[in-house]
Amino acid sequence: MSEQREQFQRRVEELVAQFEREVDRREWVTGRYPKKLRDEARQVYEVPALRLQKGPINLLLDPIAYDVPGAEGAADLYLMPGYDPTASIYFEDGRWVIHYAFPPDPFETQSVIETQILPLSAETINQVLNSIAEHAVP
Amino acid sequence: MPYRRSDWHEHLVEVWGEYKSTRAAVDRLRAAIVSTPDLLSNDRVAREYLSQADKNLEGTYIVRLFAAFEAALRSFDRAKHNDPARETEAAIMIDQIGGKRGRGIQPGIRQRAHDVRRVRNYWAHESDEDPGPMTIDEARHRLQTYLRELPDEWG
Repeated sequence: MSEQREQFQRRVEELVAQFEREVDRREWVTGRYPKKLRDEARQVYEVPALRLQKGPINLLLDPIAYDVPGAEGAADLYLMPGYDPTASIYFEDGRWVIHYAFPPDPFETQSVIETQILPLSAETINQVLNSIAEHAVP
Repeated sequence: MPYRRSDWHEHLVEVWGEYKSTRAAVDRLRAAIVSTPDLLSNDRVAREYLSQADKNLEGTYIVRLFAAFEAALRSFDRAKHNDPARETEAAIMIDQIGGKRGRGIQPGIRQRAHDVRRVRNYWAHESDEDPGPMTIDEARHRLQTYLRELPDEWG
């Protein structure tokens, strides 16, 4: 088993556990399921993926790969059921960060959509999840 | 070992993600050629087919995306009928697959999957009937939404 793969498995476990721990439990229900991935030797291995539900809004925290340019790991947040991409989470400089473009304020006439890079914390996780839920069309 | 629906969802995500990467690569190559016209001077075929590759890229990946979707339906159809050699046409599977608890799948969800199938036919079989434009994002959304109607596991 490659060191990179083992490291990615550990990091994904930490990422999923952090979401489970930090997500606002009054709003969100979570559930894990095992996701199969293949490493560079085409060997199958598993990492946890996480379903997140708030009323009619269903999201999926989906680990993608460790072989990603400029990062040592990637996971995506999808709006279900269509797997519409909403945010990406990368392992960069020794920590997980969220890349998310907050939708523009409808009351501002000249708003520019810029992707923000946010360190992963209870505050940013709930901020991003609630923003996705607020603007989602389930 | 039973088949997990989540694995089929992930397979579609992989195809869609590969399209996004390839799209970015082709776009960057085209832009690079504008500033460096002799960039492909040593690769005649790549140079001659670049415009065509660019034009057909999304359709090509929609064919792959639908193939992944069809493989999922076939896996479910074979397990349901306990017949590992069963070959049912995609159009029939889309209509006849019962979904969760054997209940039918909503007509709107089925219709939207059929629309993707027609786009696949247009690209794969060079059908004369133009189904109209559809982006790969739209195709992915429709096929994943259909798959969500299948049970969590089968087989």
